[in-house]
Amino acid sequence: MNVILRREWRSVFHSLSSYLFMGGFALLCGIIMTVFHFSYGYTNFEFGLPYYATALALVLPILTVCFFRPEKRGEGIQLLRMLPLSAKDWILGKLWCLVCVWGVICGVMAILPPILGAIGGVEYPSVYLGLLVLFLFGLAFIMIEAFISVSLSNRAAVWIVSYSVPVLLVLINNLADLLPWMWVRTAVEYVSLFGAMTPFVFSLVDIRVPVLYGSVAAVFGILAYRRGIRMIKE
Amino acid sequence: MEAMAESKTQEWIRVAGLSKTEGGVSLSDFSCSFSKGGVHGILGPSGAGKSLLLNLLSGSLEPEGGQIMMRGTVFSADPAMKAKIGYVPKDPVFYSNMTVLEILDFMGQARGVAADKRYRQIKEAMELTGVEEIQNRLSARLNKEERKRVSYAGALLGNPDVLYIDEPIPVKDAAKRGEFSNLIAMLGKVKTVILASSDFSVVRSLCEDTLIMADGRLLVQDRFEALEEKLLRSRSLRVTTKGQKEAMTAEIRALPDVLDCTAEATRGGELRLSVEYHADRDIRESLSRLLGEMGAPILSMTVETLSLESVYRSLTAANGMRGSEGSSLLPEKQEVAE
Repeated sequence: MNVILRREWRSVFHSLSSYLFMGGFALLCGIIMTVFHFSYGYTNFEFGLPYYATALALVLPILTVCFFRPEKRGEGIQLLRMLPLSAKDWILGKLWCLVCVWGVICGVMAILPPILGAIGGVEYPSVYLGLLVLFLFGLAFIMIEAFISVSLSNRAAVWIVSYSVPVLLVLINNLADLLPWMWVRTAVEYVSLFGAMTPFVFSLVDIRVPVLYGSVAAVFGILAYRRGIRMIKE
Repeated sequence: MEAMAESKTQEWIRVAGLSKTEGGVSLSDFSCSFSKGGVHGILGPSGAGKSLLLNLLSGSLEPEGGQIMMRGTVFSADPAMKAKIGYVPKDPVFYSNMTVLEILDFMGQARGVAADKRYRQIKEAMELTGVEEIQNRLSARLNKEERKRVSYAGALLGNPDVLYIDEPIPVKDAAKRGEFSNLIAMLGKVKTVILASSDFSVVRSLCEDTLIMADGRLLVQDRFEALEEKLLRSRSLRVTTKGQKEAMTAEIRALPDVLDCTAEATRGGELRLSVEYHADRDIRESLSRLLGEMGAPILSMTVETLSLESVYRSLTAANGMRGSEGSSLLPEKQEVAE
């Protein structure tokens, strides 16, 4: 798996889509920082969590849509047949690489709170707890997008579905509000990925949130893994 | 020396009752074996199941039934087992955004070669396969022959015991064919090389023995010398005549020294006879007399010496397959009498 991880990691820094993803996310984070923190003077990093999450949802498909393209073109599969590697190692290596990319981005974001600390008071424990929740949110979102990417063979379909899912997730609370059934609204509130992080925005710790993100990441991670194995064997 | 000769002939790879269906090609209850060292051939027309067999032998595909034994151990697609073999696919495809050197480095890593040994092995493999000049070229810009060379280099990393090569020579140019042939011959001296090809001349020139397969079945497996010796024992006589098919073939088969006789009726009412007989005898006279007694005119008579290639062609054609491509040997016509 480490061999695949190293190859994918290297590939991330040699592909246009990865630079567009990282550049796009850095740009959006810069705008959020400038407008939200510097202009409005909010030094609490956690206040910006929903905006950072939305920024990730906007740019993540750029990375994930093309992520399994070499395998779909048979490039990696041929090598897999030639080398003493298993399909399991291959898919896990690729998924693990996505997690590492997001981990490094979150690591870089960890330097933002001290910067904000220079212009005002920062509650570091709640800030870094918020960042951890953002990391888990990203993890869940990455696995959803990876599952979409590995499941659909048509490139246009992957783009459409990859962007439809975040739009749906953003609007799901508003859509649920239109429904007359209270239980549906409550259920949606519990499972809404974007809405779930609200307690952490207000520095409140809610254990259900990391559990939700962890569960979604695990479920879609397993689905992406299984679909990936099937793609390789086909 | 005796011990060396013994180890040379020992069964190195054994396939027992292998079954698999993939992409419209199927192997059913397929069994064969390969001895240690040397170059062994798998010969068969397109669609015979050669690539499927190599994919199973190399652990790229898992069999539906049967097993492969390698040095007495059951072979599986387990990475530790796969590290002992090198596989050169028919038409290798690599990651298009990687250079040749990066591909080989990746393959070396995947084969578990330690970093300090890896660069030396890559250098040696590149020298051996002639890819040094293209080491910094992107895989997307490689032609078919260069990709094949790279896959040869990659297969050698980690010093595997066995090499499986699917369609070993991807070019028609004589000089380049020679380079590939030399490389394979050299590898055959230090490893067990098993190659599959539909080109008879390639297998004949490179291999000590061959396995001929068609339609997913093993037709014959033996050393070339043994196969040719068997063939030299018989000759074939082609006769065009007129008459009743069944009666004529029965009468001819009853002639002394005749091994077999087959007949084919043409649209023009003619009968084409193919008579096989002992090579050290001449049956033309007795056959002419018999046909004369039967009132069958001899319209033409041709003696053919059977070559291994003609037999390969007829064997595979009889199995409803396309014959070998690009081969140069044809049945040698010796005598024509009309």
